[in-house]
This record gives sequence, structure tokens and C-alpha cells, in this order.
Amino acid sequence: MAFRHAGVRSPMGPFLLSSLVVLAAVIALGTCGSGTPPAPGEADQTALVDADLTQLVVDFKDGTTKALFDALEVGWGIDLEFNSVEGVRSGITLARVEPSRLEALLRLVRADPNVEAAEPLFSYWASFTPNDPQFGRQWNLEMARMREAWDLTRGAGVIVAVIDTGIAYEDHGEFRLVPDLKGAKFAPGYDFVNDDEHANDDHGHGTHVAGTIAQRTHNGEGVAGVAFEATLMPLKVLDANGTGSSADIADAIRWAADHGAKVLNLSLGGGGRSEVLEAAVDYARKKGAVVVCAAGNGGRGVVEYPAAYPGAVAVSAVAPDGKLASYSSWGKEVDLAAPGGDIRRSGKQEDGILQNTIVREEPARSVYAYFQGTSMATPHVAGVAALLFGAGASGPDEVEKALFEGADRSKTGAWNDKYGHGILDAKGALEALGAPGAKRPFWKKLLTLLWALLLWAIARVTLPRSARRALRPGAGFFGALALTTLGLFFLPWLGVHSGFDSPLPHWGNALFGGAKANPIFYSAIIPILLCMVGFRRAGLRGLLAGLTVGFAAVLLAGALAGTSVAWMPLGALSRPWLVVNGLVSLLLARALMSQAGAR
Amino acid sequence: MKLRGTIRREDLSGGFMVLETEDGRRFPLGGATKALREEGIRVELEGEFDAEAVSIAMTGEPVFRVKRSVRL
Repeated sequence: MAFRHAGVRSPMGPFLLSSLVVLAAVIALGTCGSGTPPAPGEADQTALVDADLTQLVVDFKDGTTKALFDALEVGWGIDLEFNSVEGVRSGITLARVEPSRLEALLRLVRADPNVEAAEPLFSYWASFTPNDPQFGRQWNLEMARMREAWDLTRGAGVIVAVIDTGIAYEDHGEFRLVPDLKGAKFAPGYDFVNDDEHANDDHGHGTHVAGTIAQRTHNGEGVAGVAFEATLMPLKVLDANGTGSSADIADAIRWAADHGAKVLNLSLGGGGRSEVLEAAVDYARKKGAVVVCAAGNGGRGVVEYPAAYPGAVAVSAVAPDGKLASYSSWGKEVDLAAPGGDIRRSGKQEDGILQNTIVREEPARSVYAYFQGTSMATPHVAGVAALLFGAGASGPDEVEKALFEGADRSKTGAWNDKYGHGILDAKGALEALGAPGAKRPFWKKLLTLLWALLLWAIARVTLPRSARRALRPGAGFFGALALTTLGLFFLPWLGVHSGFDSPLPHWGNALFGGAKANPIFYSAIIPILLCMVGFRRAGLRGLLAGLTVGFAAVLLAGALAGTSVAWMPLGALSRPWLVVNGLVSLLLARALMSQAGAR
Repeated sequence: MKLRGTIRREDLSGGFMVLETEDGRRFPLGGATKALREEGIRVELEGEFDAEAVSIAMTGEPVFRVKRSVRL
């Protein structure tokens, strides 16, 4: 027999052929099999490519002269230039535009008969990097590894309640929306201090906190936020002094949980133990929300309420060097540390957390200000909790487990009363949730390949002697095996950063986003369908055997590693799902091997 | 009750006013504080400690809810 009679003799041929066959199948399956296509807002969640909304690319029909598009651009109100010297031949031109005008411009430009195509400028990133001009000052977002996390999710569709002094989220009376929240998403809120529906900020604290969670990002303005596609719910419980009552706070917690908030941020505390407040925290948690609270600014070993209640995630603060901030409280209830800044210790403003907020006495005046406090650490955790929900986490247990398991312990060691489980790490948390898009070093991928060869050897041992003797895997087998277990591993070396350099079952996430494994790709469905087409064709069996063994290896390795699969009604079903589908793939491989061997 | 001391602005949580008493304790202020936004002024405050109050201060000290204030 032989797999080496696969029909194509050149060593790269079978690999390319198998790549093409599988890619075509995957795309066909993906487009029909995964239900709804990603909505426009979610389309760039995987950040394979990133659209720069400040630049417009117009491809004119070949031979278009500068004189002609000079005449056209006047009508469009933009200034087009050839993209490169090649532009004279290719007709590709570029112009800077106002992001708000882009959509209207695209319609206008595309309607012109001289234009072949027009689109925003797409760039390929190693990791998504926002264009907000002051992003470079946000050491806190680097510390929490936000850029790598944003490649996977940005928290779209998750409501985060900011229970605070309000948010500068609308133009209302003496209040003004701050510029770097313009375009951010807001859910209806409530002002429990003044008992009305306009939870505007008359202090600055709440707006700053809201900015850390979901500052408008990649908008060419100001700074970035942690979960910038999440929805903010403004709930005002603190007055212009920054004080309020536990009764109002308890009401706001229940209100948030009843109105769909999945994450509650409480950058506040103090007072004694309050049964009313403790019961409200429990209520929200039972409703499926994560309650994130500041540990306190006492610089002592006592965690303030509500952070100290069992249902809350208590957050201490660290300085830019990763050490506990001088003011931060600590204690046995601390769950996690996050950047809160420490201007006190260094005397440098830039060691604080920079966000857009309002000037305290003038609620209509916007300012970019460095704040410090466990109040500032807390919204980092709330934002990452929103990312985890956005990536498919089912509830507070799963979110908290991922936050704690994914925390960076390299400087803090095992759990202790200063840092809890460690320093917040957004990428680590998404990995802990089971995000299969997590980048793996090449040697780890090779382990998957070796593991696949071991499975193949095991399957081979179970074959009748005649079939075993006849089995001589060829280039088709190895090509398909390499593609399935290594993916298009060479893409990063060519400077192309995408999800396709990971094992083939991961491609579902590269195509459709999400942090949990895509259940269609992480199953035997693709091997079964391809075998239905190719099982009877001897020339394809080598390819199919490589592919099915590769799938078996990735799925069974996933089961061993505890990979979480999306859409599983119970998180615990992920492992049985992977085991069963892995074994089905392996049986398919064995059937292919015996078939080919019989010939 | 009455408290004497100096008004200070804490640099945490975006800033809040406290009363620093003779013995060095710093109580976050709530209530009628409009006249108390100037760093360094000496005052006598009339009001009550509010054990129930929750705030952005979280320093571990109770909030003093001001009813009346006199500049000294």
C-alpha cells in the first residue's frame, strides 16, 4: 500500500495539497457550521488584522492618473496620495480621514465608477496596540498584559456596574460627557444619592474608575481601558465628598444584579460589618455577578468592608515595581493585587493611574489625571472579569478561578495576605479559562507532533500483522500530520501574525474568536466529514490518516490539559467531550490504516 | 460633638478632605463641607462620627459628618 502512493511526489506537494484541502473544508464548515457569523463589533475580536479607522485605502481602476483622483478627492473632502511608487501602476491610494466620517466616505467612494475597491487600512499586528496617544503612559495596562489579552477578547456585551460617585457619561444640566468616554457603551443607570436617573459624577472618582474599565480605546484620543468593548452602568451612591451610606450601596448592588450587570465594581469601603450590605453582595453573586471591591487604603493589615465579605473579590494595590503600594491595606481576605499606583512613595505623578475624568469642583471640565489608591486597582480586576465573561466564562466561580489561577506569582510567591493569589494578569486569566488561542512556543507544538506519532504507533500495534507490514506512511501522511498538529507554524517567521500558526482545531478560534475551544473544531466532526469524502479513495488515505491522528492527538492532549470547550452546558463536560471525540478520531485513523494496509 | 484641627487634602482616590486633629488622626469628612476645601485652615467642626458611612477614603478612620464649621 502505502501512504507514499499519495499521488504527488515532491516533498512539499502533499503538505501544500493537504493544507489546501483542509483549509477549504475548514472554511466551508466554519461558515455554515458555527451558527451566526460574528457581528461587526465582534469581527475584529481575534485581531488577526486590525482596521485603522483614521486611514482610507482607495484602489482605483488601473491606469487612473493623479490628475483624475485629484479632481475626485475635492468632492470627497479628502487628500489622496499614491501609497507607494507602485501606486501609479496599481492605482492604490491612501488618505487620512476623520474616523467618524469613514463609513459615509466608504459608501461615497465605492459608488464611484473609477474605484475598484475602498476600505479602511488594515494592519497586521504582533499584538493589538491601541493608537490612543497617551497609551505609552499606562504602565498599569502593560503590567496586566492587556495587549495580549485584547487579541482574544475585549469584553463586548458584558455590563459592568460602576457603583461610585457617578460617571461623566452624558451632557445633562451642568454635567458634560468627557471626551474619552465618547462612543463608549452605557446601560441605563441610577443616582441613589439624588434619586433620579442621571448618575452624573460631581467628584471625578467614579469617572476615573469607569475609564480604567472601559475608556474608549483605539480612538486616537487620550488613553485606553481594560475592557473597552464592555458596557458601563453608572450607579451613583457617593456624594461630592465621596461618601455614602451602606443602605444606598446595598440597594445599588441589588439594582445592578437585577438589571443584567455581570461585574460590579466597588471602589469604596469603610464602616462596620453591615448585614444588609453583606446580603446584597451574596444576592449579586447568586445572580451570577462578580463583585470586585477595594481592599482599602489604611496601609494596615485590615481589609475594609465590603471587600472583606466572603462573596467579594478583595483587591490590594501595587506600585509600578510590582510591590505593595505604601497605602494599600492587606489581610487574610485579599484575593488579588492589581496596579493602583504609588505617587506617595516616588513623588512622581506618572507612577499613578492615568485616565480621563472631571475636575472636582467643575464637573463640566475634562482632565487627564493620575490617581492612586486601591480604588484604582479594583477596576483593573473588574475589567478583566468582564473580558473573562466576554470569552465565555459561565459565572462568578469560573471567573474568579481564572483570575486567581492566571495571576502572576513570579514576584509575589504563593498566596499571601499582601497580594492574595498574585498580581492581575489578563492574558494569564484567559489562558487559565482555557483560551486555546494562547500562543505556544514551537517546541511545545513539536511535543504535540511527537504525541501524535506515539498514538499512531499505538494504533499500528493493534493492526493485523499483514496490515502492519504494508503500512509505510509517506509524505501525504506526514504533511497532513504536521499541518494538523503544528498549524501553519511558519507564518510568524514570515511576519504574519494570526491564529493559523496553531494546531488545526484552534483555527475555529482564529476564525470566530472566543477564548474557549470552538466545539465544532474541537471535535471529530471535521475528520468524519473528510473521511466520508475520501475514505474510498486510496490516494487520499495517507492525508486523511495524518489528519485524523493529528486531531486525536490535539483533542486528547486538550483533555489532559483541561481545555475548556465552549457551549458545554456544564463546564465539566469539556473533558468527556474531548476524550470521546479524540477516541473517535483515533478509531477513524486506525480504520484508514487497516484499509490502506489491506491493499 | 465638636472637633478641632486642620483641614488637609489626602492624595488618595483622586483626593478627599480630612480633618487632622492634634493627635495626628485624620478623619475623612462628609456632610456640609463646602467651606472646608482649603488646605491648611484651622477649624472647629460640629457634627457626628458616622459608623455606617462608606467612602472612597477607606483609610480605616470613621467619616465625620459635618453639620457646622467655624474657621479659627
